[in-house]
Amino acid sequence: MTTGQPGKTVDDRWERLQDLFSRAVELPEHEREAFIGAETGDDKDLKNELLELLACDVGQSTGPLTHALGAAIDATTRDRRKALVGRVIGNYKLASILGHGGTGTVYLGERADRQYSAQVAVKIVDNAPIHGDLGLRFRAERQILASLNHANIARLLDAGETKDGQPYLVMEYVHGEPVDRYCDRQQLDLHARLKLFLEICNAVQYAHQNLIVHRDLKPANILVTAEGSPKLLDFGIAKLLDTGDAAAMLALTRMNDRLLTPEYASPEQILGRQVTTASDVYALGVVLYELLTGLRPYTVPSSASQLELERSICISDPQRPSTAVKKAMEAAEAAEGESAIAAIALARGLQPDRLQKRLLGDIDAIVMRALRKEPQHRYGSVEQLAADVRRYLSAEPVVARQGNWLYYSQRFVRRHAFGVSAGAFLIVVIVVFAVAMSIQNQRIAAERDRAANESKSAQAVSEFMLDVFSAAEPFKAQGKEITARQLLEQSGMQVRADKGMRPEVRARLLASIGRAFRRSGDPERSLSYLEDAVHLRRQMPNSGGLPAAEDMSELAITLRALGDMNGSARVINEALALCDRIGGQRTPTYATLLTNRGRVEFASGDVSRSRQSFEHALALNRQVRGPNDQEVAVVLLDLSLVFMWMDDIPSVERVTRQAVDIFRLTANDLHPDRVLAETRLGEALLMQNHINEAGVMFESTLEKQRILFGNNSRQVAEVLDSLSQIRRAQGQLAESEQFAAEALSSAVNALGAEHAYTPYFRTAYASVLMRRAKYTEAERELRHSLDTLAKTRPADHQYVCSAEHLLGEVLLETNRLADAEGTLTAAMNRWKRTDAPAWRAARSASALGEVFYKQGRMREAEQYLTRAYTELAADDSADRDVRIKARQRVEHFYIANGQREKLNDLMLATSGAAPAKTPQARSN
Amino acid sequence: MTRLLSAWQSGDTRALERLTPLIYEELRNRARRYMKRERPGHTLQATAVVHEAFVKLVEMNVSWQDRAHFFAVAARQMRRILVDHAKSRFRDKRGGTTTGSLNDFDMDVLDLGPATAGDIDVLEIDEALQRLSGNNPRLAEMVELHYFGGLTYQELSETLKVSEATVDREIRLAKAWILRQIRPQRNREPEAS
Repeated sequence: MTTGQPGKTVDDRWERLQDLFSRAVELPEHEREAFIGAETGDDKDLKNELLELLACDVGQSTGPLTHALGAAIDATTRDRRKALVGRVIGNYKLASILGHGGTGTVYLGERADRQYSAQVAVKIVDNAPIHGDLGLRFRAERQILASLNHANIARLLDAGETKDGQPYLVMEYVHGEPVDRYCDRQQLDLHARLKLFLEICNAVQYAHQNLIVHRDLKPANILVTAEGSPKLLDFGIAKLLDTGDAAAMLALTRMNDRLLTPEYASPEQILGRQVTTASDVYALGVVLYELLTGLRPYTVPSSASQLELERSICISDPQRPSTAVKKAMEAAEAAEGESAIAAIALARGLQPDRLQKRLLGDIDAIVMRALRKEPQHRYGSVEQLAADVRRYLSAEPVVARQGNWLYYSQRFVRRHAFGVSAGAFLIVVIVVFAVAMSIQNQRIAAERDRAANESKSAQAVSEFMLDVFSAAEPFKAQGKEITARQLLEQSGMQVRADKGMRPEVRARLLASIGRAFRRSGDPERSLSYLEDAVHLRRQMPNSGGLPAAEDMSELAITLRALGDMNGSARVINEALALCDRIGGQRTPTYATLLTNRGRVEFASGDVSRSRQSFEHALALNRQVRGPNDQEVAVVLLDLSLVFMWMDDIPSVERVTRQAVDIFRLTANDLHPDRVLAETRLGEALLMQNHINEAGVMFESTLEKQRILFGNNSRQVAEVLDSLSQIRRAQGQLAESEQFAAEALSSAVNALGAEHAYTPYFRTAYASVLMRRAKYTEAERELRHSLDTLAKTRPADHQYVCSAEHLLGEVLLETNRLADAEGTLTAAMNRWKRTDAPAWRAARSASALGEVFYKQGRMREAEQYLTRAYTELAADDSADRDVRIKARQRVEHFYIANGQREKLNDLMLATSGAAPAKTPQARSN
Repeated sequence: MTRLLSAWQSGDTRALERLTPLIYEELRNRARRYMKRERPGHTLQATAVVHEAFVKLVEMNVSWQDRAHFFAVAARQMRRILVDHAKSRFRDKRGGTTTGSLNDFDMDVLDLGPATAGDIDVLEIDEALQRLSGNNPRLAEMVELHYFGGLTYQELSETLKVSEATVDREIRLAKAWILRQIRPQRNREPEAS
């Protein structure tokens, strides 16, 4: 820094300039010149400079510089977006940019063949490869839009991907202007504005009946055509509802919050709570407010940050429309000059005071009811809002004016308690969406005359969920924070108590709750709900059809999560048989069942069968769900586990990379499966001894895993286990032990000490302990592993083999040779009965040879040691450390017996068999 | 700060490689929201762009010597991106190869307010800043950090180890100084932001 350095005249002068300038700006403007004159004396240059500077002073405001910067930023980015103009997408040539939505850029498209002059709006997701999650949203939007068919909602015409893989939508081009501008330009009076508003409500209500929430209603998304008919645009955020996937939902919600226009966002949206049809009621309230008053319900100084606006939306009560107009009138009087409110009133064919009087009373009440902070205190539906507007128009008493006093007196009490944990809502949101989606799907499939009936049951479900939500109100919970599980439990009790509920609806709700319990990490609770759902389904016609198979699939997953492999297999086979019977073999459900069958088979140690199941599921998924569907990636990951067990690591890497590619296209950074895929790729790298690369990968995924699953989770346990292996390979045994210990404790806490999977971590820990010569502890852990495995796994499971082999090594190291012989012989024979590669049995054989050597049984020792080493040396996939150990044993044996020639012969023979690249392949 | 900047100038090129696309990315995001803004007078701030880029880098686990270093590099980079672009547009216009007209934008989304004769170009700011740097390099750096790096007065005060009041005083003068460089002949009316 240069201040304070003496002797620099430039600095001195600047300091003086600074001093005088700062003092001058504190003075009233008319005193400044005199002040400067007095202070500068003879220094004319300084005086002039100061006067010029004062003339350029813009005070505290950032003013013209910020504006210039904004324009520069705008110009910089604008040109980059123009690149697509002139290109042909689908059958349309992009003529110009229409605008930018939250998800992408919208272009005006014209028929490329010019056979007839059709104009369309083409929406292209910007930068899809970077924002995988946007791509996902986009696909969801496509489906939602296609299912909406209403005169006041912009139609979807086509959809696809550009050559660069950017998804695009072709939509009806709406030539119109935003509703607020349209009303002002047409000088519509209040009556006409309300009529138009009712049409808008109609369209929103239609979407709600299809269980689609717009989430981003605002004048810019409501265009009015030249014929005066409103069109709703940009269901960009509404498409959220199209996914039942919890993690995707979380990520999307977060993203949406960022894309949201705060002026029209409801408090629950700003707070990241669950968004329902009530959020649209709120946004419609803001739109109505603006159409009628020309003002926004929340006015903050233009210098205020978005945060302040959001705070005021969440905390303060908005001004009533009539009050806002009155205040604007007062402000206009004070300011004299031309008044904005006069222009606003004029556009409505009124004087400001007339406008204020017209708004007073009914309209105030209607708007304020729609704008209430708490969703359940607004109008129950858009239809109710519209009904009240109609009542006003026909001069009937409006509902909104009833009960306001009570509302506002209670609000004061509740204001500070407006907090239920966001987590609780999210879980329930999963239930709601799962339910909503299953009903929606059925709606599409159902015949027309059944639609009315279905809509009734959809409404029943919504009402039920609304009950659950309102039960979550803090004051009802006596100040205690309600957890997600309590909320689910409550829903469950309500479903079970409600005798009048249709079995169809009941089964769906039970299954959804059961699934939500499992996803929240509580498979025990999940079980009874899913069993009940399946039980109900079985009694329905056609044994419940495909929905029954779906619920069975969920039940099977829960059973597997609980470690009941036989039960899980039984349920899956029942579901598959059901599908076969009703011709449901080419369905996503069937593919999911196959995947889960593969998982059960794999968990039971039947690796080759599970591979078949997964490959079948993979092919079917690609066919019925599409090649880049996330389910495809998920099965690829399962398959990678199979390859992992077959020690076919290049295949692991191959399928895992395919999975990672799909996830990078379709999921965000923290998508659990994506993180899993990346982790597994790390594993494949690790297995191929790209240690350092793998280490970096795991270190970064560890944090993501901790965020996603918590410290005590199987996922975190697995990453820790990998890191333990990496540290071991890097020679950092102390750290390796630490990671292994943490992995085990994480697994024990997550799964239970006696869970079928826990022995894996226990055995891994024991193997590190052995490396550090902590044989007593290692033995204790290995025996514990074998005990658990005896209860939970088939006798010839690979976990058993591993633990048994290691125990044999411990016995060998601690010179209990007879026990070692027995244990290692068992392990060797057991390995031979599994699908595992031959070198694993050879490893046991090598250890056994060492036992014989120590026992002085030289002939047997030589036979076992040389055979084992020959086999290991020839097998490229064999573990390097194992090979080295076997080699050392042979060397030791021959040297101790003075048979160096035999050793040389053996090495010569095996060096031919072993691939030449062996040394550098291990150089990592 | 000077030390930090020279550390950058001496070639933390890898850091720059990582930073540039992120700033571009945020520029795009922010500009999109900027275009959508519906409250008059709201201006797109470099603040947000650079801060978002910072957050992303933190998420990516890129290590920086410290925050101050990051913002120094980011501000310089932001300035360069904007100035380079302005220059290339200028060249394009002279060469007659303009890529499109402003009319490509619907008035709904592009409402920058009236383009008055008083509007300033980023090139002018850049030149004025260079001249300021000749007079008072420390102040020029402060302005760069504030306008291009998006540091608030409070952050400037922490980074430069001076009081907030000093920052406020000095930036106010710097603003006037720069505006005077750009249009010495004009009497500026204070403009609300």
